[in-house]
Amino acid sequence: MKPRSELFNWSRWCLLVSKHWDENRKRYLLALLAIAGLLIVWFSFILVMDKYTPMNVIYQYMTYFVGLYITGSLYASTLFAELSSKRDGVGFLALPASQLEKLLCALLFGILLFFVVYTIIFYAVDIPLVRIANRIIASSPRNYPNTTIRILAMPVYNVFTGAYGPGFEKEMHLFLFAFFSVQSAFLLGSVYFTRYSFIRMVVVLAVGLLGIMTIQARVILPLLPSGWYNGWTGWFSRDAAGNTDKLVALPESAENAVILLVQCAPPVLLWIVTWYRLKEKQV
Amino acid sequence: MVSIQNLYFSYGRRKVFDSLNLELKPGTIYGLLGRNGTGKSTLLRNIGGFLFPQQGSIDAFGYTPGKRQPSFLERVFLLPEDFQLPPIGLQRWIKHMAPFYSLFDKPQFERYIGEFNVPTDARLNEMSYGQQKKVLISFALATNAPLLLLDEPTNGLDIVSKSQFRKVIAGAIDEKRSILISTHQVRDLEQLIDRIMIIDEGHIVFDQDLEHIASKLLFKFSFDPEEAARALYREASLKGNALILRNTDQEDSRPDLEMLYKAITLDPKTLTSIFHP
Repeated sequence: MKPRSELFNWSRWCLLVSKHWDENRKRYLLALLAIAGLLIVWFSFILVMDKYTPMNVIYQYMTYFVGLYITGSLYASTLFAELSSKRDGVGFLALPASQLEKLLCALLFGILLFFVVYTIIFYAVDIPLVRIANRIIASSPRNYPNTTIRILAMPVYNVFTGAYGPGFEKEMHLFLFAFFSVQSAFLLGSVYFTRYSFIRMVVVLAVGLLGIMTIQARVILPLLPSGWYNGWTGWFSRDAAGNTDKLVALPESAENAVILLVQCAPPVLLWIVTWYRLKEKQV
Repeated sequence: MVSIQNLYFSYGRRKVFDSLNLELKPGTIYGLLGRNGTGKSTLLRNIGGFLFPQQGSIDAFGYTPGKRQPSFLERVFLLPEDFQLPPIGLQRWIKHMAPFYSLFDKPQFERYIGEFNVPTDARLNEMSYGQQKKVLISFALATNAPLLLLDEPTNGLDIVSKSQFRKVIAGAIDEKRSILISTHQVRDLEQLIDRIMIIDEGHIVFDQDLEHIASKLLFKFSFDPEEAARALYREASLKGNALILRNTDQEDSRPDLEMLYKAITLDPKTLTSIFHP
């Protein structure tokens, strides 16, 4: 019989996935029901409170991402929770599967399946409630306050196109892609920190964000000529009316490559760090 | 089977092992004794690949344990003192765990579970600590891993279960397998252990076969004050003084491991000099 690979073996990985699902399915199903329940309560609250534009796109957009980030990061910080104690850590590390297989199992549940299932649950709650909101609007037509503009039916927010959402989301899917980086950071935190991994990773990310903002404000901006600003992928200056009059930008292909790199590279980099950290973890 | 060379390990500034050397051979049940905090569990974790040597090396069947390769993890089973089993039924747990161990033998597992009288239809989290431990011991043996590392295996077992444990382990040892048992409960395992190792101050200070110990030392009770004066170690008891003497006349006696352990920790030089003149 051909010896199984020490790095990755498909059948061993399937065993790992099946074991993880069987041991956690009850907890996961309860958690998903809880997420659905919270979304229903929150959207119902908005429906009752906002008489003019219930379930408008911004509400949906905010709810989707706030829910995704909070529940996702909480879940990711529990994926390697066994490693925070000697008692559970030995059982986890002793299981005859490679560290890569264990990481890929965590990524399947924590990154891919969580995102897919959360999105399905969100729409399962969102679409019917948007319909209810539109029925309310249709049954009692009204204008925006102090205007003659008629309030129209609300569209369902599409997280993949970002249509009707804020500009940066429509153009670069900033929050959508950043979610995978944030989720991967919390996954790394669950291996890296032995206790309070969620809180510690929140602090690390907050300090990191503050650091980037400080560099932007104290280092990059002072280097630019007066009246020039730092954009997402270039520099620009504004005229007296506040419009962009000069622009220093990368060629379009290079700009697209940079955007793609910023969107996709951080999660991959964090997964590699998590893999190495998992290999050198001691309990 | 396992060779440890010049192992150095510390927790921060607290040194645990300093140039520790050890060889484990197949077909032997080793008893690892030592005071609290001398590093018995740490040694098992180093051999199992859960802690990494800071200096020196460990070789187990040609593997470096710290790499935790799946084929190595199949060959070593560590039964920790403290553990947690998932909240699922025993049969479901076996269904998911067994395929990871290519040498796992289900009828063997069922036989051990039967010998331990563990209910097979219960959920693992609803079992008592002792029952969970018996499940893990049965599983460990049924994996047919050549090296079993058992950390305080009799803790939490009742009197009958301890006897069952001894019987099961004695029946499970063969020429391909080695079992290393770390314990404080010397009396529980006295009749089981083939070789005793005592760890102290970061070293293995004593490492001898029980047969060899019996050939060099005589364990007896005596009211004779002259004999007591000649003893390498003595303890007062109702049956007279319990003594450890030099076995100059090759008399038969069964080593009392608890007494031997006390004697070695009290005066390691005298006792070890008898074995390494």
